[in-house]
Amino acid sequence: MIDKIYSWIDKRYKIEQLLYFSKEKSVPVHHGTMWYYFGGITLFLFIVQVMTGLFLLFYYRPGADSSFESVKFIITQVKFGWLLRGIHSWSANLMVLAAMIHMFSVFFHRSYRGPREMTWVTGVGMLFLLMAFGFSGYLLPWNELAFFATKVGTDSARQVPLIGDFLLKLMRGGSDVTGATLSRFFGLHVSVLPPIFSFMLGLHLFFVQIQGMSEPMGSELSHGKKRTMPFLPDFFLRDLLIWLVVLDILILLSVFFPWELGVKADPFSPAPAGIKPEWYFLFVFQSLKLLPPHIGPFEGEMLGVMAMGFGAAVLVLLPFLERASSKGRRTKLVDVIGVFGLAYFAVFTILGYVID
Amino acid sequence: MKKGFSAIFTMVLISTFVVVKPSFCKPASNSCVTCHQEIHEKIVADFQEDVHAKAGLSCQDCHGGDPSIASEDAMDKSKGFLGTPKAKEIPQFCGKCHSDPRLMLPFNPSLPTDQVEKYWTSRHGELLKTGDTNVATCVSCHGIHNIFPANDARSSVYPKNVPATCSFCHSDNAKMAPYGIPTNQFSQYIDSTNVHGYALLEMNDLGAPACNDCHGNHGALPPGVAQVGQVCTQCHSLNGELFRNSPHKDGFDALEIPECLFCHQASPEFDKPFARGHTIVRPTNSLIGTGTNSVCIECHTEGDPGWVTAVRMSQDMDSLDRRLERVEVIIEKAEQLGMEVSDAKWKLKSEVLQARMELRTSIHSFNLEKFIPFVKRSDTSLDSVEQLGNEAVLETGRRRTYFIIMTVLLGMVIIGLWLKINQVSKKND
Repeated sequence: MIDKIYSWIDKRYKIEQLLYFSKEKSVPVHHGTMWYYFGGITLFLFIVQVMTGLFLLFYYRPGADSSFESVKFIITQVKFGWLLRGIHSWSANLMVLAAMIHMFSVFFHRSYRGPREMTWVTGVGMLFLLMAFGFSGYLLPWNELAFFATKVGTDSARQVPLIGDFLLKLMRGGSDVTGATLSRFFGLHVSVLPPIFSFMLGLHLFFVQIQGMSEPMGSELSHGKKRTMPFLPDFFLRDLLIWLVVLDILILLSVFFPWELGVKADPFSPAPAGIKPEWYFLFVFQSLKLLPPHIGPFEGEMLGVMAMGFGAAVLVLLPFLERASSKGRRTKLVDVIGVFGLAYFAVFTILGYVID
Repeated sequence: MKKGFSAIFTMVLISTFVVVKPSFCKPASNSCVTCHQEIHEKIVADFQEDVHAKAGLSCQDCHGGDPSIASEDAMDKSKGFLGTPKAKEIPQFCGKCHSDPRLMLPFNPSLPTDQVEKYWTSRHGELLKTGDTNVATCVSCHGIHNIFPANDARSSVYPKNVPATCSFCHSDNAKMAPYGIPTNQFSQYIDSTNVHGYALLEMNDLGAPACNDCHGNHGALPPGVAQVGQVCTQCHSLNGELFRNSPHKDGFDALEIPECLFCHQASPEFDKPFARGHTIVRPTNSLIGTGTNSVCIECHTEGDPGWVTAVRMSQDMDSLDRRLERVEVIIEKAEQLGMEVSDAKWKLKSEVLQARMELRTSIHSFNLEKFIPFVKRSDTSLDSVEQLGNEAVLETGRRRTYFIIMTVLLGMVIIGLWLKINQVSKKND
């Protein structure tokens, strides 16, 4: 019976070829193999995000008068709503973390080098999209912290030269953060970002399938025996095992550290003390905060925003700017820049938590 | 047709000048300001922000004279110059406008025009009539050239500023000595134990009474013993109503005891009527009952019906407050465990504390039959909040159980996968 169904499908969709490809697919085994799993973890967390996000959509009602109430309803009245909302919030954060670890491992292994430039570009693009997901999703419960953090966050857009004011109004749907901003962020979060992200994810995975996983520099030239493991079932089973561990961690976090809802946003109340963005934006927030009001003839914050934009552009275009590794040369300067970037991110994030 | 059009045009032009008063119609300079800027710099500066200046009035509107004349002739009495009024003239000086409804209407239709009339009925006015110019007049409280509307926080008669304004004279021993009245009202009012002073000055509750709310504004008088109850019940109306229908009413009247103050002032001093009323302390449960701080024991003795009522009311109040503390701890615990308890907190604030306030109000009936239904109501509302709090704490326990079950199930699958991985690896080797 199963054979019959299989041959019926195979006749029409040629899955035999796909299975053959899968069986032939292998993963290089070396000292850095463990870093490969972070790509899979990010993918798993994205799937969790989609599943839990769809569940939340059944109950969430966007609007200044209904968002907070509907989230409160989800976590107090809906069966296991607290768990799914907790998992959604925690997995969003862990996903950014996993994506960052994945990115830094790729960076230090120089896996972005040719011919995998576009895998890197799509990957970094997805990291930025994840941040946009996080920024837009943070406002959706319409609580006090999110409201004021969004106010501060969107206000930075004003510093973008020439189009700052336009950008600010575009993001907020007006000059201030209101219900219009909430509608915008909701639309962005559930119907604009997901298809773009899915498309980029598709491309990213397609590139990985076509080109295979990158190996450490120099190993392509070595004529010794290369160690590999079959993707199916060896690597996939390991992936699955890690995913289940991650799932258990998500449940643990949701049970022992429920994601707080806080108090409803009141646009007329003064901003409470200690307003901070999500941890992955904290280094930007802290950097802008520590800048002097004026640097030479320019506004400090404007220069900061421009520097961040420049840094993001360099990150996206890294494989095209750093050509040495594509030619098989490993330059120490790249490692130094990577370590500096990582240290800058860590130090300014910690400072963001420590300094009020 | 052409003539008609010209006539309309001319009328529009004239009315524009009359209504809009373009700046070129004003005198080029104000000679009052020009001269007094040098000698009375502060007055001129202060007046820029004064409510009268903001309403478009200028020096000559109060002081008379002609500011368009740039010489001493501007202050010619034959041209209506009034100069600076003497203290005894001030009420009438201000009353020129403030007692005239037709004049006041265009500026502020809601502003009363009976201030001067009331002032003459006040103790201040009575003494001024006798020629005592030390007493307060309009400018003593409102200022002279820096007058602001009473709802402006800069005003000396803004609710939060009233106690300090009154104390300027009433805390001055030398000034008050001729009248034989104490000067400790302000220090008693601003004491942190004073329920009214604390609410107004510390909690910024502008509804809390300042001096004028009990003594009157322009007709300020100290309330007599018989009127104290009326004064307090302006705000505490339910307490007053319950008291008037309580067994205490007749007794207090017979003994000429001031109704509210006997229990609510910190230290009853009936021989010094003026000292009363400024030491209203925050009422606590110890005020009622038979403890050492209780006021009930001043009159009641063990075994009489009032004693029994006091004991029961005290016990019920204490018991409610102890339970309230326990429930607050439960809710705090649930919140610390990360549970959403905003409904419980809201109920606690809106229902339980409201019921508790009503219960405390019902004490003024001094009647257990009226008091006990409020005890039951408080208990019932507290029950529902306690249930919400307990449910939240229990829910955290249930969630932890779910986690253990899920971890065991996932752990079994993980172990299975681990074994399978080992098996596959061995096969590949």
